[in-house]
Amino acid sequence: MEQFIIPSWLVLDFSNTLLMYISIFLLIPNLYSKRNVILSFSLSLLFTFIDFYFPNASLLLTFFTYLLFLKHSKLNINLPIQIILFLVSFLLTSLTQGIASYFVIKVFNLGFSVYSFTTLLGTILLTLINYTLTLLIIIILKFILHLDTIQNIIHNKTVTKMALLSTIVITVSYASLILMSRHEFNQLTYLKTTLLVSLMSTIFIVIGSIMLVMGYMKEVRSKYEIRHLKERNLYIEELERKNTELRRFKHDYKNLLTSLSVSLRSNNSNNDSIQRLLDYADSNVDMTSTVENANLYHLNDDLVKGIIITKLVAAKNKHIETNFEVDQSILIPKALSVEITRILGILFDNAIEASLLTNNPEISFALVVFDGYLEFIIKNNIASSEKINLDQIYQTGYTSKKDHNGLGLSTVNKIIHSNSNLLLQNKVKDGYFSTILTVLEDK
Amino acid sequence: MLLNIIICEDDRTLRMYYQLIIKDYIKSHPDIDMKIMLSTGNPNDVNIYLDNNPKEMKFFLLDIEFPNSKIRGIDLATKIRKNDLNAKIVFITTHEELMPMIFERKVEPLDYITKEKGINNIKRKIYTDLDITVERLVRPQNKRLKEFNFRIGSKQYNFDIDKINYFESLENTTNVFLHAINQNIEFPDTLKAISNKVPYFYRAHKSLLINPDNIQSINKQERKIYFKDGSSCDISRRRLVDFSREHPDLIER
Repeated sequence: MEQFIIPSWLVLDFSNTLLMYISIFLLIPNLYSKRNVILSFSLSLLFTFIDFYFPNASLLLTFFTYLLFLKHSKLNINLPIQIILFLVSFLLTSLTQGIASYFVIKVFNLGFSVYSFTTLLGTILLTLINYTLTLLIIIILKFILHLDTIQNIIHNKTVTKMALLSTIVITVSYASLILMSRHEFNQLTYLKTTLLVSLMSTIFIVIGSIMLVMGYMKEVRSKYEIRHLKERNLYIEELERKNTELRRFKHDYKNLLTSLSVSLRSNNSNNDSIQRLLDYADSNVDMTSTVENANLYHLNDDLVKGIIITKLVAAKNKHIETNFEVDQSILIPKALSVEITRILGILFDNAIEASLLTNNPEISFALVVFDGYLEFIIKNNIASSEKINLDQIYQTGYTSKKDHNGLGLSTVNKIIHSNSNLLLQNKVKDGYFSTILTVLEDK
Repeated sequence: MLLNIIICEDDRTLRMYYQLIIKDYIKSHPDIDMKIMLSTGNPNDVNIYLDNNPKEMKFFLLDIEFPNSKIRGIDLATKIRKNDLNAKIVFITTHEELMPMIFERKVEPLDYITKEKGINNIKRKIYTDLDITVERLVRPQNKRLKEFNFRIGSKQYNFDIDKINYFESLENTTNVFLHAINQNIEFPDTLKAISNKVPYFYRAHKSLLINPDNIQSINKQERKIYFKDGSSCDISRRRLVDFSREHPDLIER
């Protein structure tokens, strides 16, 4: 009986090695050449015999054969992806072999040690299933998932590095498991383990690659958005320059009108027409109020500038009357810009919510520069019924809002308390709540 | 003491007009000693005047934008305020140049006068502002407020002590929180230094310094001090014993 098993085992080994080379050729079409086909045939034969005398020795040798293929072949994809594809084809054939063996032994109940006929049948069936599965998966990869296009998309170095690393790790662990299990377990246990490991690896690879591709897509999108923002900022700067010119002109002409009315007064007691003209100018030429402050756009810190513009626009969209003032030549300390942005975000949100409870919501913002420090001032009107306990609002859990967990201001407090250069003041006066965030410059 | 009046406005006609208004005011108040010391269109002149007369009592009428000069009205006013906490500053300007919050924090001006409202309004406002200035600066000062001084950066602040409930020091920073009626202010300082400035404040806790004048009551069970405005803070067990011995009237039954 024994003499039938060994040939069948050899045939299976040979066919499997060959299948691996076929899948490599399919995955990397540029490798396909007469020389390489002959090479793969002879290598498969060689490995089969090596395996016969030294079980599993060829496993490691297989990896070096790829270098032989590379000679005399021109490839348009880079090395990491080549290695990934090579490893994938190795894992793929091992996986399908495992599945096929499991089917043959378990489902069809064909043993390899009873009769020569069943051994033959089993061998043929196993090879068939093995080839079908592998080719099917490769076809799915190539034509349904468009592997080529994915390869072209992934230029990103980290993505390829990660993919390479994960496949290498999986292959190494898989190979070591095979080497170990062939000595330790009986055939069926070995098959089951192989199958399990292969399935796990496949699941990991699939999940990992999906996440990587998604991450990459997100990065591409955010890059696009950044470019878009930059263009918009350029446009706004241009608008602001125009606006400043206009203001200068307005200043001059209003001065002119006022003084004209003064000189007219000395000659003629009736200066009604001039006054009417002044009133008209006042009410009709006031288009500057929407984009009032060029200084805001000159802020050196994009994070802080971003949060201020975003929140002011949000307030405007909620029909809150906004007024903002930004001092000249403001330098925001880079080291604190994240903290400042977080605090401003929370303070603005609170101001917006609180002011919306009133009939005529108002929010004012000012950024003032002093000798050695900056002040961010946020001021909003509050409903007269609202009574604020200043000592409590900054504690965890306190909130004057319904359906709110009151974490915002305690976050502000935490940031302030862990930073000596950030100071906070707040004040309730005449129906207004104001908060001042002071940022000291480093001494 | 003589009240020095300084006008800085780049439009010549308007400047003459302001001068006329103020001269009228001076004429109608012969008992008060005041004089227009400087009337100019060039903010540099004001700077020179400031350097030469640091000690005088001053009233400023300032335009905000000077198209022909690099100096801005706000910078000029900031400089004035830095050297003289008592000077009265009135801005006279067109509406859209006004940045009230920045001006408020930096200069604490007495008033803003907008040119658009017409010359009659300008005259009325200048009169009122001069009245206030005379009331606050020139008339004998009857009683000075008790004030607590502190610094943030280079700027000095005065705060009415009677409004302070307590000071609280923070663990991880070198800053102190001033808790007052309807207002909290954080500034860099230590409780020890503060207690030297206001020795009659009471150390109720390692991190708390309390104004005894504003205490409403003390709750022994909760070990809490309640202030007149309804806010509260903790008191340590040991201090509570001391304090209740000294002020038995404040303990809640």
